Amino acid sequence: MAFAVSCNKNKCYECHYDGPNGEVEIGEKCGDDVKDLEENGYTVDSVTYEAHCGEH
Amino acid sequence: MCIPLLVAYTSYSQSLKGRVIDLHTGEGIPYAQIEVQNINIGANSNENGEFILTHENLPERIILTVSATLYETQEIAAVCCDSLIVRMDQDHHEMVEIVIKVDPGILNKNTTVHSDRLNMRELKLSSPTGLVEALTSINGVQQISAGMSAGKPVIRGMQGMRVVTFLEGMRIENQQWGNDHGLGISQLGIQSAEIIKGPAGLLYAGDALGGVIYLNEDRSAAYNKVTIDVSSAFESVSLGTTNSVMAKLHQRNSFISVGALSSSFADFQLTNGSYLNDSRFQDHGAKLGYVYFKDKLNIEFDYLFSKSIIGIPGHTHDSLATADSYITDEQNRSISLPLQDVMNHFFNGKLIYNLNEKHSLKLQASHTFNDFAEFEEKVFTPEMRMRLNNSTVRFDHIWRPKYTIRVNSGFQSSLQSNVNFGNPDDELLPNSNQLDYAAFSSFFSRLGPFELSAVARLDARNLSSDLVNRSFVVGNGSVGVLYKWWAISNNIIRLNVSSGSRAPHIAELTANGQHHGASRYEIGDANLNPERATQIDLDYEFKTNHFSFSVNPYFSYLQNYIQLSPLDSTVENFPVYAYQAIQKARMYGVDAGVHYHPKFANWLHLESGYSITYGESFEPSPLTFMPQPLWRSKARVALRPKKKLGFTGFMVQHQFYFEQNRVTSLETPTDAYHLIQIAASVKLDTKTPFELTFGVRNLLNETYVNHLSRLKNIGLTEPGRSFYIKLSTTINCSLRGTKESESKLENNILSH
Repeated sequence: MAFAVSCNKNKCYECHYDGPNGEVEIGEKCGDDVKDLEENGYTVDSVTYEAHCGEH
Repeated sequence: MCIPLLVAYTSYSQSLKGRVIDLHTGEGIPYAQIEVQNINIGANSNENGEFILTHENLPERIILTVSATLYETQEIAAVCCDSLIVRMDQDHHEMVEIVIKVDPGILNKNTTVHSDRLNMRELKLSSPTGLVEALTSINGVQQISAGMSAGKPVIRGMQGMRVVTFLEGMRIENQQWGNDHGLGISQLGIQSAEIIKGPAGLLYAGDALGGVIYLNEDRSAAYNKVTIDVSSAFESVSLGTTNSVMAKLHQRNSFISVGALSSSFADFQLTNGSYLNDSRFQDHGAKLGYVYFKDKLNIEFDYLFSKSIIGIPGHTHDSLATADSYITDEQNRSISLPLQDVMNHFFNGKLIYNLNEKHSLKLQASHTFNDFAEFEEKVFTPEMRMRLNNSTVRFDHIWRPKYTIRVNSGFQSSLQSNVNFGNPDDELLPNSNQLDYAAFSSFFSRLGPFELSAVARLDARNLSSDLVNRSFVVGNGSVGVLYKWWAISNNIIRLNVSSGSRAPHIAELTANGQHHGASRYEIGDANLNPERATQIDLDYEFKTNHFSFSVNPYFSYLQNYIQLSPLDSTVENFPVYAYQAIQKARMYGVDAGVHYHPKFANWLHLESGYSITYGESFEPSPLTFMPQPLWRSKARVALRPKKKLGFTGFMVQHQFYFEQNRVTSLETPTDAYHLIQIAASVKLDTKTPFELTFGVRNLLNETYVNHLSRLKNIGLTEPGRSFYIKLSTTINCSLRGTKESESKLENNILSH
């Protein structure tokens, strides 16, 4: 995707995951770490939660 | 009414040279537009009214169309000549008559169905922010928008796939089914737009029940010169900037144009000073045009690229969302989610071969590629992403057995594929393929004061996907008559009866998911049948030297009309809408306009227009998304400064949108509102002239929402007062040998 790849490849975003009690901040992530988080989620105590990055 | 005088001198030269002058003063008319019909090439006159059209072997008999602002357009039949003088009379109404391309080879005053033509230069003072906003200056045309971005045209209440847009004959295919999906075309390099309202544009499309929009590229350039148009504009309500550059070159047998545009708009300001979050957008585009003409051959190629990143307002994590959930106190233009990321590549090639005076062949091939993505919660992974490829081939044979008879026959075929690349769980439409065939034939004839026309068209479509596999065959026709007579002044009356049929789109058949851009959950119906419209269109025009009036009533009988109807439910906070067919419905209304140009004040133009559309089923129950009646009035002053620096124009425009209370039980009425716009322009007339245009939109800071606005769903209103300013200039660079040819031209003209 032109937007995601060319414009935001190295950009950094504040990220969070959707924990059982609501959103939990996980700090700033950049580049491939963002992509990895969005694709694979965030794992806490062997449980993987949906993760989101960026302002929305 | 003065009769234009043409003086032609025969020679063996292959250049057509001449001068366009004012009939009364004899002064040269600068920047007149000269076009050779059927060869599809033109030129602009220079500062002295002189022009050169170069062609190696002009046909013996040619027809020229000469038009200029403030003058009455002329259609001139001439024997191949090397020098001519065109004397033009002033047209006080600026209702320019020109050969329209949407009904090829015919002056718009001679078409049997009313067509509107919009010259983009006429909108200099109002400076619309987008192409669709520009189109709304035509009576009967409104837009669906969300503030300032991604407008979609609505013609006499019809929208979406019922309004088909063509760019130099290329059908624009880029997910036009969604009313939040923009045209993907900017105003850059567009010279004019022609609109046929209703299904009468059968030569181009059988499914354009709402109308055909035909966009013309600007092919005009001074001979042997490079013309570079540069402009920069600013809009205060959204801190929006638009910068563009367009270069054109006309030399020997070719014409080249290249241009680029970039715009960036932050969140727009509401009337209370706060901002609509994520109403920001960015548009970038480039285009390339090439025309080659030699002997009987004319080749055209156009490429257009556009890239838009458009914020989707109306997103919140509040569990109980209200309109305040979408508003912010900070204006921002940085990219944020959710957003649409849209990229278009359009390729268009055209080959015209004039066999002889009576026969011409035209072959057109085009390809459009659209990459459409919606990012909702993730930066790298779009929830919805589709790639649409569309290839079209079209062949036309034009036969002119006499000057007064024209027969245009041909066929076309297109192949379209839509493929999803996003999250499979969020697919709104399935992967699909669509194959279309069409054959058509039109007949046009002039019999004394009558003009007659008839068109027949047959369309076949096969649509296949995992969810549906349907085939459709539909036939349509159109007949029209025009009658001219003299009573006090020129009178014209037109009557046209046309039918159109539109097979349901894959979205209407199979949609089942969230449509974030439209803030809706949409559900299709696989059993929908083609919808059909039969329209009776009556048009009367009266025109004197200082006054003109037109009234255009119409009635459409609709069968299997497919509309997006609200259901009384929500899915994840989105209201649910379903595509439903109404067996019998009707749309009717009137477009009317008046133009007064006082004899005692030839710098003043007073214009007013009114349009209203009623849409209802035969039960009767109103149809959804019907535009508000609109009354538009404008006072405009056009000046020619005698000094180097001076005002060239002023404008005051008032638009009154009447309330819309004819709504379905699950729609809400919309209040009436006024919009006032003022503007002025100043010109610095140096070797490189500069023009500054400035004005104010929504002068009274009126809080309003249009009935068609996508913001209405989420309880929001449109932008507040906005100041705008635009600086533009045209740079002319001479090419080698120009001075010599100009000198020869001058001598040639003086000798006559």
